[in-house]
Amino acid sequence: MIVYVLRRLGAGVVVFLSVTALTYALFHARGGDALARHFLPVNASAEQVHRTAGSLGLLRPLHVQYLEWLGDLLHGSLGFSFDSDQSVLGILANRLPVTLSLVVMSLIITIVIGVPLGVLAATRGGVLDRGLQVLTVVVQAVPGYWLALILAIVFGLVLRLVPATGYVPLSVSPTGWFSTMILPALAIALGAVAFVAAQIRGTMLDVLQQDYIRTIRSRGISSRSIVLKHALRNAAPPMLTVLSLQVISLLGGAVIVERIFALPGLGSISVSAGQQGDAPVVLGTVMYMVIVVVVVNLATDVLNGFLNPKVRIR
Amino acid sequence: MYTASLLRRPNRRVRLLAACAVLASGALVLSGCSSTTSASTKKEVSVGVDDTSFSFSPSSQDRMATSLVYDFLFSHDTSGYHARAATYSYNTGNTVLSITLRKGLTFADGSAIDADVIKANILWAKDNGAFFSSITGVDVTGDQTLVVHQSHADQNVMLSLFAMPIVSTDTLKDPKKFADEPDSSGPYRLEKKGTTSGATYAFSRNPHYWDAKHFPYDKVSVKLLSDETSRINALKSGQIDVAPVGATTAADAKGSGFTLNQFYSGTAGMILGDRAGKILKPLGDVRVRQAMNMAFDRKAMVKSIYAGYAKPSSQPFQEGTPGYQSDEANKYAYDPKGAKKLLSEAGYPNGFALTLPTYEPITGSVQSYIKQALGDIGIRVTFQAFNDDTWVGAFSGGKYPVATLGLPFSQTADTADPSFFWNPWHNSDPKAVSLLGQINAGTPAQAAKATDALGKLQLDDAWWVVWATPATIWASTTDVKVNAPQYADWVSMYDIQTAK
Repeated sequence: MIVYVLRRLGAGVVVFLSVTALTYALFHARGGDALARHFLPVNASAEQVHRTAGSLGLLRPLHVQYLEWLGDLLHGSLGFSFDSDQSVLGILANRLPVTLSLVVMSLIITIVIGVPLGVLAATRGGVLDRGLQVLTVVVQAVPGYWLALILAIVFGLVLRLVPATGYVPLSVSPTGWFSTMILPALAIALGAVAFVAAQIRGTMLDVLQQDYIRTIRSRGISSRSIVLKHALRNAAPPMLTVLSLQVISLLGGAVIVERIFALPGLGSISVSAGQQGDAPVVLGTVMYMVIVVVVVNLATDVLNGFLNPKVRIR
Repeated sequence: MYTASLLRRPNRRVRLLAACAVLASGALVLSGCSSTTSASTKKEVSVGVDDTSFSFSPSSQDRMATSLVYDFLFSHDTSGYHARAATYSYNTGNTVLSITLRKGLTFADGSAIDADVIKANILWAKDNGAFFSSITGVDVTGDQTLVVHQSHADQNVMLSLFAMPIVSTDTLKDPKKFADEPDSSGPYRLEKKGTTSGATYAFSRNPHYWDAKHFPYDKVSVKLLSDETSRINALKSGQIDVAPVGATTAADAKGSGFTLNQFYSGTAGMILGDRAGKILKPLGDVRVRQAMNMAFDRKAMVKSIYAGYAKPSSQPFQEGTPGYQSDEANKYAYDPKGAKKLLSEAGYPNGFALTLPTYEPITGSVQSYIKQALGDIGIRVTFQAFNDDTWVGAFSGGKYPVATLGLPFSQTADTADPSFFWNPWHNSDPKAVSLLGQINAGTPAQAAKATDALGKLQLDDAWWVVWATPATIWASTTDVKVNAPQYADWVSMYDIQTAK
């Protein structure tokens, strides 16, 4: 198992280096002067632009800049924002919890609603099953940002149950935090709920048709026990894979939803820093995103390894 | 189905969860509706801004952020520059600028703001993008006095001095150190309590600030709401009192009872730069440039593109200021037949092809209109798309004969300068250059007269195709008003006032 984990960890490091190097190359492809121009008045002279590019270290060979970034990373620094002069680590330290809590809350909603819905559709069939299939198509066709706007208008402006926009840190007010997070979490979770429910339904139907289920049913074991103790356990590995993919999908959904609800997370800053050409912040954001993806994938692989020993042999 | 009876009835656990949900929604109702108290009674104001970051760096171009925590030497309006933290005077010829600071200016920690601090700020700004290339030296002549020497008269020096925040010498030595905790020289101090970096910034009064009466609010909070819909939602739900809105959402804000504060600070149009006809020969003929002006139905554009939140105009100078030709407000009225006739007279009855560089801020509807309007008189437009990085490079290279350009009124006259950034074609009209020299070096009265003559020259010689002066719109509750910003469309804390 240790070898298996180390192998997955090694793959994660390769992914991390590949993605950050590619991001670095793509972002710096415009050249140092083009990046530096963002941080000067638009009519700054070419000489001023070039001088600023030099002072920001953007005129050195690309691999030198990337290796220095990696070296700084090993020393616990991600540099300073070109735009605000603030420490990138400091900027992102405030934002990572926002995005992570958004993703975790969305995941909880997805699991709490999606898994039972999928199980019910598989076990009850009928209207519920057909309804779920229609719902899956409809919800997946609805763009996340549109759903976010509708939720903000209905619950924020019409019903005034929660703030339509903005963010309250958990440390300031737990209820305020929950009230500002619930709509964004719902906006990105609803699509995932339908997808997960549909996937769970399919997996459960497969498992419930297996011979061993028929065998234990013939022994008089209750249907509830069959579903909860036997079928669900055997359906767990594929479910886990579906959920891990959803975590990555939810992370992507956060980019747009954070902007609509003005949440100060990684998604909103990745968009703004990208537009501004704030390379250190973009690199820092990508780094965190990659780490989250690698950790989630690693955790999924390890859990799958525990649940299914055959996986470890590969 | 084999498990038809499964999970059919809500059990006690489910009922308990339902009860919790009801309680939780009650708590949410309370927390969601807690921010609707009137701004004027609380002496607090919450401002929504369309920024994605809020930078207190001395090189920051974020006017809202810097105006909260930093003081400035001068203010500016359509009548010129005025004293704030300092008074100023120029010698004859406008090459030696004498600055006298107010007595008793201090930072929030009580340390003095003296002439040495201002000198350090000017020299730092010169190396960091300010229009200070003509400054050859700064002499400190006393605790509160300094003299700035220029190689030549240059009105951009005052433009940059006006926009220069006063920061401490410690900040200049290490701007990164103070990016999160600015050492305030301005009306407010950043409060850590209530500030969530990247989302909300809280400010309270700086007790040492000399001009507290200009700022009516004891507390200010600024929320970063880069998405326009989220700004409108925040206004409607009472989370903020004032915020910028776009032309397409202004009607929604007005319909919801908010006051629309509108300002007109610059032009929208195209600069016909290749007036020598080096890149595109037809543009060398003034009749062609005038014909292009006559191809645009400005009233229709204001209605369809700016939803009515703009003033139709064909002039690059601001209405009511020197340079604007009030008796020629209808020059270049929409007349496509007359335009085609002018093109024929110039020798281009079949028009010509024009490649126009464009970038994101020029919206699709504007592009479509340009293509149609010029196409109607025979000018076949092809757009070449850039992003905002590459567009500046393409423009400054002077490779394109015409460029779409919205310029603040304060920089219109400078397009006569052969070395000015927005004149990459290096056009050098002797009369225009002479007038610009008089604007820079003359007394205010002489400068106004020269500006007026330059405005007439630019209009008659068709340097531009201006179609409108778009409104900058800030929506506010009835308790708050937003005064016309001091420069361009940079609304700052100076401009946000109580309405009653």
